[in-house]
Amino acid sequence: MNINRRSAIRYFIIVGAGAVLLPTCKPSPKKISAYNNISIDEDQQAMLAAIAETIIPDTNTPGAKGISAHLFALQMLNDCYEQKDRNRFLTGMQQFNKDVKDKYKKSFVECSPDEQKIIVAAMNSQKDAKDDAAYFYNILKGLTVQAYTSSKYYLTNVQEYKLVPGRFKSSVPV
Amino acid sequence: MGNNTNTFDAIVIGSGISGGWAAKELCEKGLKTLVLERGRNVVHNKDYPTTNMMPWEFEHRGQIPVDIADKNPVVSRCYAFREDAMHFFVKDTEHPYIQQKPFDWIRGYQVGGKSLLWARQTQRWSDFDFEGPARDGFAVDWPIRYKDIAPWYSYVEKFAGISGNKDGLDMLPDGEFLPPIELNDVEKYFQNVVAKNYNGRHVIYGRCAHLTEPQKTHYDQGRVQCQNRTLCQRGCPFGGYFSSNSSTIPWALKTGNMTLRPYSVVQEIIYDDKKNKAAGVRIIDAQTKVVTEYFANIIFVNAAALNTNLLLLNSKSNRFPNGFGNDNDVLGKYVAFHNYRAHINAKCNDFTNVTTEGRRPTTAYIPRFRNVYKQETDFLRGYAAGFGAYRGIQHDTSGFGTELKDALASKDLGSWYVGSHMMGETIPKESNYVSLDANKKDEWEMPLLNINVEYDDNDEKMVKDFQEQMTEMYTKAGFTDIHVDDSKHAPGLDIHEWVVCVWVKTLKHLY
Repeated sequence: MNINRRSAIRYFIIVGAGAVLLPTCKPSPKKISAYNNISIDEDQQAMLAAIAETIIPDTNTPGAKGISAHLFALQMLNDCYEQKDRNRFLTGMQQFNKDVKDKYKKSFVECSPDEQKIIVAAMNSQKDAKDDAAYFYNILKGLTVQAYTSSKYYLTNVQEYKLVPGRFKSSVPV
Repeated sequence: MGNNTNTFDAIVIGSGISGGWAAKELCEKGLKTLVLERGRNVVHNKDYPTTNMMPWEFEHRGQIPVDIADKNPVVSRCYAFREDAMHFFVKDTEHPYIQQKPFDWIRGYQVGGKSLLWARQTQRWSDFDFEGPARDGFAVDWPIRYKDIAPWYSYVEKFAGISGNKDGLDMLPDGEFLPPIELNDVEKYFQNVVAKNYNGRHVIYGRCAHLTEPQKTHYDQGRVQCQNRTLCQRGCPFGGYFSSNSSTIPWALKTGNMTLRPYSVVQEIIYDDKKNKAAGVRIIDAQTKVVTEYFANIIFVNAAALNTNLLLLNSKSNRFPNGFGNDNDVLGKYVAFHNYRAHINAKCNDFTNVTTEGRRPTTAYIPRFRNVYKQETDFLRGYAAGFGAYRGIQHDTSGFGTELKDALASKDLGSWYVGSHMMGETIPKESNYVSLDANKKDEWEMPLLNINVEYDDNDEKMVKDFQEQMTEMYTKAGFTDIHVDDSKHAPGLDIHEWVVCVWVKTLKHLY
């Protein structure tokens, strides 16, 4: 949890700084050192955050950004996926990035919210199981949903989890 | 013989369910008792590190990291080996054994053993079970009958606290029950369908070791009512289910007669040629590797089925050159276990106007209905089955954006689903055996156990019969989308292995 929080703080600092720095100079993105099994740099991490946020947006309540879903996704990818699946995710991520840049001449993060929605909508209806970018998107979406639905916010405010439910009721009218 | 500090009235080897009971009984009767446990101590309510953790506090939300799973394929196949309870399981890498045939040996090396992890189901045997071998001629007759054990069932049930319903079934005798947790509407419906359509088939509430209405004896143990957390495998702060840790071990400790020695790997039972009986045990400290001998007039071996055989096989003397009590060379043979391979799931499209609230630590149970009164199939013995119906909130996750977010906030209920799994009896055969490896030893100088256990034709027929019979019963109930499967997992994963010869042949030498 500590690592996640540290990474989260670092992420917010980077995005803040990036907004100022990007137009003038663009150093090559720094590798994220928190993950020993996957090679991810700061730009890629920011892209994952932006995609996750498009999948489950912050509205008047927290969404993917509010609960740092992309950091959970990266942690799970790093710890709980086989190497071949990690590799495919990273390959798919690069493919996704390239497809966006080819089409929009800018990165996903630089796209407008409407453009981001159009891109994600296309990915969301993609049915080709062989496509690496689709694989990447589906894994990221699954982990984003898992991060959100198992978050403290969700299990306290949306669908309440009771650690000690007490009585079981065998028949309750709907 | 040993000095005073190493001599006790009784020695109990192992602190799981039966070891805890032995410790309690011996200590209550005033015997100074040494309880030897090979693993670390787990003190009730002190050593349950995950018990009050919320779902989001688990780094991987319960999932086992892939490097642990890859290194420990056997234990990783166990349904309960998850992030919240993995510290109570033996990792493959820590305690190797030799699978001459695939066998998933699931172990819990700590005070309390697997009593922390068990599924808490407590059905009595009936005379149909005890008379099985005598009737079908396979394996040796049991030396006892139901009437011999019934008072002891009652004795244990009252202390442990068993929730159940008095169903009056001859194949599943009633016991000393605390109130049952009610079956839900779909389970009751299936209960009626089965009762109407079949003679001798019953769907009942599964009897289980949960305190649904604690009595004085349970409060005296420091246990209170089960809160339906269904987080039992983490260790229960309420003592809501029975474990050695919450019940028998602290009870034994309270007498002042118990000495509990964790990290004690028993290597051998020492045979005294002059007295013509077991005199003590030799242990090696799991951490320091220091070897010590302890002596007592009574020795209880409660090291679970396979490790008990390992220990007895390794206890060689002039009197017993092939292992303790092993005059007829059956020690380690006739390993039996449960067959849990088959499952059947389906959908129930009715009862959309009701659901359940909260959680429940048990399900319904279908007592054995095959070959109960007479041999009626082409396989021997039979199977019981678990049965449960569930309904939960179902989310449509196909969309994205605010649409997805709204869908995840929905409280709309999905359909009811039903599931059942078989619990098949396997017949004890000489060809299913364990033995000591001649060369390989673990770091505590114990020979590695060779395990040579497999399913046979009887088990295959039983899997098929369960699938057919349950499909028929589901069909009569109008369940749809019926899906049967055979996991084909290796023996052992049921975590119910037992070995016939141990109690028959060796007990008399241990007292």
